[in-house]
Amino acid sequence: MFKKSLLYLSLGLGSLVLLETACDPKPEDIGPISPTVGSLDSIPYTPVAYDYPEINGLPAMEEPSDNRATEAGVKLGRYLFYEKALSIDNSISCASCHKQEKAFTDGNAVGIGVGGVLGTRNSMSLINVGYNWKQNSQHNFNWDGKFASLEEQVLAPVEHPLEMMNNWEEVMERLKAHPHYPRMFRQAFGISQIDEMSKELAAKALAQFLRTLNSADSEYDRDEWVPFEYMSEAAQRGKLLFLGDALGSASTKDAECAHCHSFTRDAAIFARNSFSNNAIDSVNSFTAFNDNGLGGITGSVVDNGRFREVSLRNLGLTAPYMHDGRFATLEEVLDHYTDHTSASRGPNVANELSTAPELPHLTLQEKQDIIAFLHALTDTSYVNKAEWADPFLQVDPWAE
Amino acid sequence: MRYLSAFLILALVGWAASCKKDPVNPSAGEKNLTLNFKAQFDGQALPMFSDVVVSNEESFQLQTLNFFLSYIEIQKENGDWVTIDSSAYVNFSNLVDVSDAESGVNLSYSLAEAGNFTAIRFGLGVAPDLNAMDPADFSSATALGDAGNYWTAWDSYIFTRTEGKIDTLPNASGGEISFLYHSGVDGMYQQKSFSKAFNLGQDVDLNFTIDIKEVFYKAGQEIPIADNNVSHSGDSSTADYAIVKTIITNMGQALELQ
Repeated sequence: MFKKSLLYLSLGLGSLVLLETACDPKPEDIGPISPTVGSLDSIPYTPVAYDYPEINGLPAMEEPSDNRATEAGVKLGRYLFYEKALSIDNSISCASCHKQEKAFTDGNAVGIGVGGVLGTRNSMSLINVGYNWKQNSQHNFNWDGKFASLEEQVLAPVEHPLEMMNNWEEVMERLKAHPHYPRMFRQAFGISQIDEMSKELAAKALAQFLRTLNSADSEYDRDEWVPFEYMSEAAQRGKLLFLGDALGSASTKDAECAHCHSFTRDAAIFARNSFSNNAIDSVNSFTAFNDNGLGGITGSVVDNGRFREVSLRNLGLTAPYMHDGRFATLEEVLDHYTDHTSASRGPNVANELSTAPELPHLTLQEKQDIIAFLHALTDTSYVNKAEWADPFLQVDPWAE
Repeated sequence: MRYLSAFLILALVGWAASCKKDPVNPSAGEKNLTLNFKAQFDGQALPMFSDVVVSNEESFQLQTLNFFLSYIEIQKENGDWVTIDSSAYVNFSNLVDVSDAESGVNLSYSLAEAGNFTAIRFGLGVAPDLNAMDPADFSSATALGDAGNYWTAWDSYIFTRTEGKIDTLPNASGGEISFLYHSGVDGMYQQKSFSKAFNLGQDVDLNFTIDIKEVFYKAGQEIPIADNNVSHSGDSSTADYAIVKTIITNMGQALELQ
């Protein structure tokens, strides 16, 4: 009888303890330092879905079904984005080529890797990068469309010989031995053991963070959405030229920009997520390009010389321009489009350019108006945004 | 008390059962209906970026061919129509080899509907109700969700794209002319219907061809590429509209079910 009572008492107390543990975790008891070996089960895993802000002009953000963003996942991704331990000598991070104040570009013609080694392509802006994802497409990211998903793309720079020159095994060893990252992986993904930390989870976290870098608060956006706020007259003239054929009848001048840099009021990305040869290299055959771009990925020669048609948002912060950063100014860009886009410059020059009847005849004033409109697409509201900034510049980066 | 206990037990069992999901076999009893589309020129497979010589010694090359279909429906024996897709996109742009062109583009549907069918119909272009919407209204998994398929100037999707070049002097230099014709706006939507008996007790392939010669060089409806090589549709009173309306009309008539 005594034994039975003791058993019931033990079961009852045990249940109370379990209930207390399950229903009322006390994160303040866990402490900021996580174990660097073994189990992580003592750290609470209470995922909270990340709530994407609604932004006028941008559609709802789409996520892969196996990587829904959480607050903890986005936070981990932000730390990894600024983490120099990803590079072989702890010298550079993702942010080295993607600086917040430059719309997450770096101002250089091509990316600069460990030891100052030069890459081959211009560092792309990451603002609104999540919108590059088209489900069912294999070619969504990078200038050449090499990657289908952000989760795949973010793995590449770590091991690229012209970028971080590291390998993921080494990176994960560093992160596993870190006093805080095991806890953050646990909080983001619910893993039970440190050994479950993986490059795939790191990639998921990075992708989650990148999908939050959304902004549309430019002069154009305010003109579109805020009562009684308007772009400059030059920008408004530029918009008409950019869009062309406006207001239901053929316009007298059409710069044809909106074919490739397309937009609608509710999906104002200013890119159609596609690839084309914009004639910046004059070649006489499909096999004569210095850089095959998309063709190097698909293996189809007609894709040679085709590169991503990028969003025109934030051009005021993202110079220099084109996949190799060859144009320092928007004036040079416009001069290219008016002077060098005939079909004779290659076998697959974008027909939108080569057939554009009025593009070669834009006046200097008209080009300046288009540039005014392009500057009106620049949004600086996020350049000091704390949620996107380097967490290691905080007084206590690891504070909960 | 006995009834209360029984009720509680039943309620508990019922609650537990409600949490269990029966395994679903989505393919059980379903058959595949595949719509195959092949681009041809005078009956021969037409790869993109390949030159063909037309009868007037003009060289013709198609580089881009794609179009929307709306409300693909099949008709039962009793006359009822069954919608199998509200919108689809047929894109030939990556078919640059002869073998790819001979294979064509497939739209495949798994259908639970069985029995005999007598016809298929769809709209060439984007139906007015869908065209009243915006890419932001659709998932990126669909072509309607792609802002690149939308032309803001006209508040319309681009129904069809035909792009390429001709060479009016194939044996000399200086005769190349690029062309680009994009059709859009509601007035260009074409309804197509094809009689065809088929039974969905088994997988079915319906094979369509579109002969591009009948689009650009149709007797009496030739497209004057050299005189007007670019059009984005536009206002219905313009020559730009007329030329693209002719193209999409010819496309509709050139679509045949084998």
